[in-house]
Amino acid sequence: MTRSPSLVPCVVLTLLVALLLLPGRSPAKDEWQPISPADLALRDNPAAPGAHGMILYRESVTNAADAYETEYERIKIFTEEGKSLGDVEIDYDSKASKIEDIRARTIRTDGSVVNFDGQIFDKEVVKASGLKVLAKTFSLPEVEPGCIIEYKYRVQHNTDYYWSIEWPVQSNLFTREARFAIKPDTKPGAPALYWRKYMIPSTAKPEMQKDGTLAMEIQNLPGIEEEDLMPPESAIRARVSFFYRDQDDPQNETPEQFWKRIGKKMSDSEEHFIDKKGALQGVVSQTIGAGDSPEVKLQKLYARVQQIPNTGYEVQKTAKEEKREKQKENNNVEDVLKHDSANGHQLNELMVGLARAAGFDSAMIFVAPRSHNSFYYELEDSRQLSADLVWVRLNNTDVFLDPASKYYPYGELPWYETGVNGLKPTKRGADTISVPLSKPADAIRERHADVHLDPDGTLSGTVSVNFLGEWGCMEREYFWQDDDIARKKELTDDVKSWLPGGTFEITEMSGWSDSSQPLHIAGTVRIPGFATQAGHRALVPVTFFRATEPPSFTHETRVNPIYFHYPYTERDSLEIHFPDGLKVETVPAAAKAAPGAGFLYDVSATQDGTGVKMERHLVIGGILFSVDTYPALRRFFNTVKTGDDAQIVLQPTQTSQSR
Amino acid sequence: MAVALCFVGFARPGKAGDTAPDWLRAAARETVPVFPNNPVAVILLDECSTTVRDNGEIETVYRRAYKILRPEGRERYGHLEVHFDSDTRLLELKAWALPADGKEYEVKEKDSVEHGLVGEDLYNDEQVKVLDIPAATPGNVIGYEYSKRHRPYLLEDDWYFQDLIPILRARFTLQLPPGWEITTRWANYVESKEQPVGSNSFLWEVENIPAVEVEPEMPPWPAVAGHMDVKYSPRDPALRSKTSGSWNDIALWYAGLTVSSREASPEIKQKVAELTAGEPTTLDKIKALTSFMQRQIRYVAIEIGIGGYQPHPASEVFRYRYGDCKDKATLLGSMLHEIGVESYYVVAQTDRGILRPDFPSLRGFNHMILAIRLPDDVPSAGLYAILKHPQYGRLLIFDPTDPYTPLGYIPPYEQDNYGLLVTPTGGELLALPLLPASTNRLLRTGELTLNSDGDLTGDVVEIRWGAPAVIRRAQILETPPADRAKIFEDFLGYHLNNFRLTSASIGNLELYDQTLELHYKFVVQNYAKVAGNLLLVRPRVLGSEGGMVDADKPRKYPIQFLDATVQSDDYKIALPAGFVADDLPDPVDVKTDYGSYKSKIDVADGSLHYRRTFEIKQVYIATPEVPDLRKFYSQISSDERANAVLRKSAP
Repeated sequence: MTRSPSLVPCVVLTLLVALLLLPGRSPAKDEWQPISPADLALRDNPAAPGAHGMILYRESVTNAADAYETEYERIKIFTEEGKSLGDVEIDYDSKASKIEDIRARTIRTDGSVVNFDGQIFDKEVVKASGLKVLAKTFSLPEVEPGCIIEYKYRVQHNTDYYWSIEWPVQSNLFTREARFAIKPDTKPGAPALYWRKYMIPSTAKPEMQKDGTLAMEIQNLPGIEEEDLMPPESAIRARVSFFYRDQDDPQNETPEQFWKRIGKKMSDSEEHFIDKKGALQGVVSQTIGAGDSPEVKLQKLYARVQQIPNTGYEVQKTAKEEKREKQKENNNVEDVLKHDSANGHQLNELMVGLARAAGFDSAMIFVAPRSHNSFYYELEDSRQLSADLVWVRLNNTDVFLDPASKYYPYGELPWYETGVNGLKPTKRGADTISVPLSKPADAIRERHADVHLDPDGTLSGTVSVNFLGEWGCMEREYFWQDDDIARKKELTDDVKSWLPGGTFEITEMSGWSDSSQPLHIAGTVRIPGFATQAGHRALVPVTFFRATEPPSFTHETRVNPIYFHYPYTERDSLEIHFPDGLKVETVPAAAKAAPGAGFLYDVSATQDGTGVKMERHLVIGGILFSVDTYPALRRFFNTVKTGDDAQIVLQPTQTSQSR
Repeated sequence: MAVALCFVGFARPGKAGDTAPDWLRAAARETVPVFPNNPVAVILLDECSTTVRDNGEIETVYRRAYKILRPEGRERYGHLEVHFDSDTRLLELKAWALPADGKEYEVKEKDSVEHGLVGEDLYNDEQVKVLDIPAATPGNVIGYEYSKRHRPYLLEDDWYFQDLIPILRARFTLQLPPGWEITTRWANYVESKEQPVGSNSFLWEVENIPAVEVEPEMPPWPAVAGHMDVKYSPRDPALRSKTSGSWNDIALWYAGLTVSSREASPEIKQKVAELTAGEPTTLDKIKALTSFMQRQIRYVAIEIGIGGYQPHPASEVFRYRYGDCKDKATLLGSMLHEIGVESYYVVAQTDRGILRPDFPSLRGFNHMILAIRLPDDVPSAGLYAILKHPQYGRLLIFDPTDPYTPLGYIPPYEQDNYGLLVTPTGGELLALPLLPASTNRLLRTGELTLNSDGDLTGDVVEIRWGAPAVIRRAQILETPPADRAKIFEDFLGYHLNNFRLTSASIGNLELYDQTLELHYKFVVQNYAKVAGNLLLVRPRVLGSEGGMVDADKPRKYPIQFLDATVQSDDYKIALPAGFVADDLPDPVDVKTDYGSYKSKIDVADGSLHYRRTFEIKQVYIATPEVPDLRKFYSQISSDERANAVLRKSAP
């Protein structure tokens, strides 16, 4: 169950730490760095040709003591379409900061300069109670291919609190050279400043300078390129973030020391909530039987926890509704049982308590959900661990459960909580722990069509679809706020997207309320013109269901790793019957591909009386693949598409031919 | 009785307590019938009350009551969005919920979130307040009320009374000052006559209004949703200039607004001289200026107050080298004047079906283009967007905002549409031409070779004219050069599996007035499917025209196409040695009033030769013609999927 970071004991202070000292202020400077003739003459980026523009240089300097930042950016425009880079928008929270000293200019290709003297607008981004985010917007003059634009400004923050500081090192444009610097607040009483870097090349890191600033220089950093099936941006974007540590906490800890201390804190907090043996024992004795096997006991306790209404699955309320319906606070698992209502985290805590009361070794564990980020042990930031699970030792194996995920039965986890790393807090500290990745057989979609072809080429019959395991859970969770009408409509559209036109009408739908059963839909299909004509022959696609793989493998080149959310299996089958007057001339040969890494495709068709039966399996065996495996993956999916594209050839029987 | 009650009850919203107003409670008591298509909610009452003051100020109170019928209703109607700008003051904003089994809720403006309008503009002053309404769950009734005051530039208004969900009752009341008059026009709905409810006060009421159903390729909302347009004629002659009595009135108003905008600065004059210095003819000079406008003046919109209508001065646009549509039209007009060519603003609309010639109004416009008055020495050849005007002669319509549509053409969405010609002495509504299909062409020619394993090598040349050239040119130019091969791969990937692009080149990419020429080569593994001793080959290797065949339910609204076009494919596929054609798809030849499709395949000299031509001549297909259109597309789709069967000849 994912949750807000505030549930983890917070060890960093990024906001609302009072600063006692008044700020100084750097005067605005209107000096620009010299422009080299080579940069003026540049017509493309030699390091990464073919972009609309590139960042020649940028500099970001932060003065933490005086709460201001200065930003400077010099951009080369290469194409007509790159001219839009001359439209600048700087967002800021007007209640906490202001933008000052904006200067900008355009350097024409002949080296002459046009200073920006136009209007700067304050565009409202969002305004609500206690919040007003504005954007300074302006447009540089005479921007054309070959020119250089540059602008700088200063962000002055209010001095009565610290603000989140991050060097957003990587942008969507190639950066030739960049310098980042921060001058920490070193006045007495100021908290210590720490940093962590993400995806920064190993050759670069913030280094303390003689003048007390931390600075980092970086060169030739490619821009982020968006592609299908790429990992989440947080996993690939280079950045450095800074944080303050509470003055009461030890300074300069090693990662081991840090996580040990955090683990203890987390463990204490959990134990305080869970440790209500009396109340738990009563539930356990009502829920499980003495003769139940250990696994059955766990299953029953899991089901019991999921009976408690989960506030995370209530329709989101407005502030006014929440105020009026103020929920009773749960301070421990006894309260959860008494109030018969809890958030996801509390439900998982209850599961740990019940498991322990039933004699299991069990604990809360905290992981970094793959939907957001990965867990970096060396980064001393507990906010990474924003999802929690229940760990239980069962028959000498580790079992991971998440009863807080309402639509996931015992044994199933949401994909973003599988294949992840995290921590198991203990009284002594914290153990690192890995939650295994699910298997392809844990998420299955079965599709079956039983259809007949009419003499006019129209196909009619029935289609059924079963979503099993994790796939069924995902569908249930996706539709949890919808009624049957909406579910039916969207699933009808899904099925129609697999068909080459025609109509589909759902006649059966079941399994929404029982997660242990397949989610099942079935309906009738009618597709005019399904068979295509080829002189006196007719052709019919063998796979019936169109390939649903995204067109992610169309391009020959790839920049980012390939990322599937979870392993899965597709099982398709078709029984097709042909009318009198047509007989099967050929069926496609069986096709198979098993390139390793758990990937598998096989399709086979056999003649069966006057019809054909087809079976198709597709197994996606893993989730993360480096760029160098892209050609092999592309070949695999090309094989899938080719196999799916095969045709059954029909020809008239002799009688009908003579007719 | 209901009328009188409604009008009396529609005073300015008073300072109510934390309970729902009576009008909402009354609406909640309405009996809700069973509707077709399972709407997510029903509007019990839609009420709009406008008070016009003698000084031209207009204040309107809006009320709505919904009953939420399904969970999706909360997402779609559980919040209120109110737009306003620097000319419009939001006076009051409140919403309520009447839960079926609980205490009423009230939320106010202080509970709302305000944000700027997200769009392409660098800056505009339009703001949106969003107010979440509590308890918007099935079975509950919710409602809101807000009021706005503004003083419009022209005394016009509209009342939209149809929505995506059914409406039980919609009312519009209007209070005019003594001596004022109105003109109304009903659109897309049977007119309901006004009922006098007091001194120069009127009420219109409509009941049981069905939902507008969203259909693909349907006309824009104002062309399908029931509404009433209103124009106010003031008593004070000084205000009469703000009344859009005729198209000429509106043109005069706009001419007055832009009277000094086009004055050329010395810098503009110098630039014009520089750009046209080497150009031998007037047409070449015009092209030099229009090209400068398209490429050198980038689109940046800054709209504040009257700036939504009034362009920036030409000198300012030239100085900064950016502006919005009216700014670009202004500067181009100024530059053309310097070479002795006159031009006029044409206020336009980028969607068809919104402007109605019979009801002059400024509200239907959203764009600005230019009518260039062609001097006699400019030949008409190649300039397709010419209108012959009795007073001004040949007017060449040109859109300086569209960066890729060259002089002589206009973008498809402006064709078969209307534009208001604005001249210093008045103006008129022009019917903008639909360019003939022959001006928007695509010819794809392929030389391909098949081997006995079914692998195909292809060498294809595409030549594009008009809109097909503009669309692809825009896509290519807006893609960084390093990624342009992906455009070819995406296109091939739509039609082929298991292919590899081996080369691609683009001809005339930056010569906008020339055809766009694409040349690409590729190889496809297993293109032809092996079936025993047969090879199955789809002769239509690339290109797709067979959409629009969804036959799920009867169509309610007409279909709009982008443009008239002719698109052809011509593929020669050399067959592998030892294979002969055993079965070929039949030719197709379909002709309709709106288009035609013809395909043919034959075998000669060891090659399959597939040719087809698809033509659309009209952009508007009336609803009764839609079933026939579906059949038309179904035949195209079948032809596109058809295969030739090759058989291995005896050794």
